[in-house]
Amino acid sequence: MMKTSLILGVSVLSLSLGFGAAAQDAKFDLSQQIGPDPVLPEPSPSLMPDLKVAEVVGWKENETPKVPDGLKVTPYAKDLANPRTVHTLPNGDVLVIESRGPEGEPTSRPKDFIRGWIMAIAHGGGGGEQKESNMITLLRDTNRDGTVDERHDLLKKLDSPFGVAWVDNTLYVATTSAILAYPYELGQNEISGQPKLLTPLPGGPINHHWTKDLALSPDGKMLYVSVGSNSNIVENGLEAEKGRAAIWQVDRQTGAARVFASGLRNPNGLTFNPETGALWTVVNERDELGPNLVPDYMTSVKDGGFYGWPWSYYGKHVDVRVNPTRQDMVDKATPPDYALSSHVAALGLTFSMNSALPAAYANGAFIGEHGSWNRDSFNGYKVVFVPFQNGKPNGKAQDIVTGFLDGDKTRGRPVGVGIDGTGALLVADDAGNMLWRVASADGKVTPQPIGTDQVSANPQVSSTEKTGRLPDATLSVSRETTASTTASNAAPAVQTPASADERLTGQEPLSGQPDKFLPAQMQVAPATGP
Amino acid sequence: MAVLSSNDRDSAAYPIQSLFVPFPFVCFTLALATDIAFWQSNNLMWQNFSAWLLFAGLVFGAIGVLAGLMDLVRPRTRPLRPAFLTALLYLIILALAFANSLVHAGDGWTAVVPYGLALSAVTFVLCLMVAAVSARKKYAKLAWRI
Repeated sequence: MMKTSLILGVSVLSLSLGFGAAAQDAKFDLSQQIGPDPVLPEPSPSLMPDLKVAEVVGWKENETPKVPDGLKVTPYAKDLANPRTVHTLPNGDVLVIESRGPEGEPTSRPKDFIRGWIMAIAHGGGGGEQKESNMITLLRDTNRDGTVDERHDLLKKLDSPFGVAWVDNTLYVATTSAILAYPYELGQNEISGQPKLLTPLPGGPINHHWTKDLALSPDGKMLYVSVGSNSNIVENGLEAEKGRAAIWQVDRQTGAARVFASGLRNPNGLTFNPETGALWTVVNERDELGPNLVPDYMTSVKDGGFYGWPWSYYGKHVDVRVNPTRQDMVDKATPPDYALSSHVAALGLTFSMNSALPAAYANGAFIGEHGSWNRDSFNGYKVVFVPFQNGKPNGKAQDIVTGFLDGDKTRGRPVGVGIDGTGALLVADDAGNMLWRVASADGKVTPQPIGTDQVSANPQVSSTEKTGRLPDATLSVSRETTASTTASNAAPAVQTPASADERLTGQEPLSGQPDKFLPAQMQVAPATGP
Repeated sequence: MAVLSSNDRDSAAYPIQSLFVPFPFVCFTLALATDIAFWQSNNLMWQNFSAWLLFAGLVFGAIGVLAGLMDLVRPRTRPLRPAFLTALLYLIILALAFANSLVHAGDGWTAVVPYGLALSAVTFVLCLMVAAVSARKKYAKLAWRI
């Protein structure tokens, strides 16, 4: 009897140990997971999760990342405090958003202790007083020679900011808890006015994926904000995921918000493709399914699209860790457009059109890969370029900025990418506290600065740009747009005026299949006003 | 009335392990209960409960091992040492619970169902066995009592 249960115990142990290592060995060819149709091995969760954290050692004097021939890399700004994203204003001024994650995530399990300790290593800093972060710094290259001539701190003591957008003399800042609107005219070196709270966003106290990225729609009316999931794979409960793992669409005038697309675990790098006007994002996928699952990806985002998290990954691959299962949601899941390999932690995305980079990079996407920590060998820690054609990825990703890793340590980690006022690529390095500029080696620059916000000619918006206030007419137009969007989403709306007797038509309790009307938590977002 | 001889006093010395050894038994038994509660209710509170119970059982269980070693070298508590098989089973229980806490450290449903639950059940059965085995030895009966 005793022997039997001993054997039973040992076999259970070896079973759960065993299905860890074997399935995804080191021979796996990583390039199979780059492209539109990645190879997905069987899940292989291991008892002791793979872990390889790169200690941050920083950049020595005259050390730079590496770039291919035809490009030149130079430091654009030093001594920043965790720069995460960059944003170029229409006059060529560059905003650097420096940010640290919010504190105060409750410790729910013994594991949370250990996780916090690992994250501290991966993000550098360590002991001692840390430099003030959570601020926005303006960098001005007055003579457009690729070096910064003026540096001004615009905003300080923000609540973990990440994305910004500028239009109509208003700087929109997505902090981890809200979108704030600051009055700001181009050329100003400080912001003294108080912000308006445009829309609250899901913040703490858990706030697992805290980065909220921001993009302005090409018509200048809507803001798109990314809200990452509140867990790896709903281990904080589904209730914690309301409005999360989603991209919200926010009316710039009223602050009203709705979920534009969902099932995106941790979306960042929201960018409109200048060729097609489609919204693109890079997404960090789930962990603890093995070193080669699940590939992070880049995808175009469709209105109402659902991309699987948490119930499935890469289309309809069911994740058994989520209980109860939702087959209806799995059936709805759209596979993303382009895989970037597993655990690379893609966080930044920008399109290269309008840049002054060599012709090889004329049409495509630059992606900042922050780098892995939860697999047995490093992946990411570089910036890659994916060529595009006709608004779609066309070809393998190429390494553009490498040399962050130094053996088992790392000098820095790339996050946000952007095109600066001269048409060069900027790379924010949040661990090395640097901003790198990658330019064409021949020194070519664009004839004039091009802003990150690609607002196409909209007469109403541009004519009122100087006053910073929209006439009421525009306001009512945008309200109508919102109203009609809402109506088309709702159940069959009343199309012809009903008589008093028939008014209750369509108001009966739902019959048939009520399941269809059960929205997933991440599809629930408050429609808020100011 | 016989007065306690010095020999009696020696043998009556309190084994420190008695303070700590019961913790893993209690914690791992309750962890099986909370695992079953999670399996039946899908309420995350029970999963966290199990993880903390396993953690607490391991911490105090490890202190119990240290205390047992101290008792082993103390002449006055040495006669109260547990049998070899008892001690071995005790260490196996701790090893299983350690593996179990790694399983419980996973995210989502599969952190408990089925392997976490199975390991908790095996651990519980071993707890019963070690209690039965230790009850056979005269002195150990005393040692494993608070």
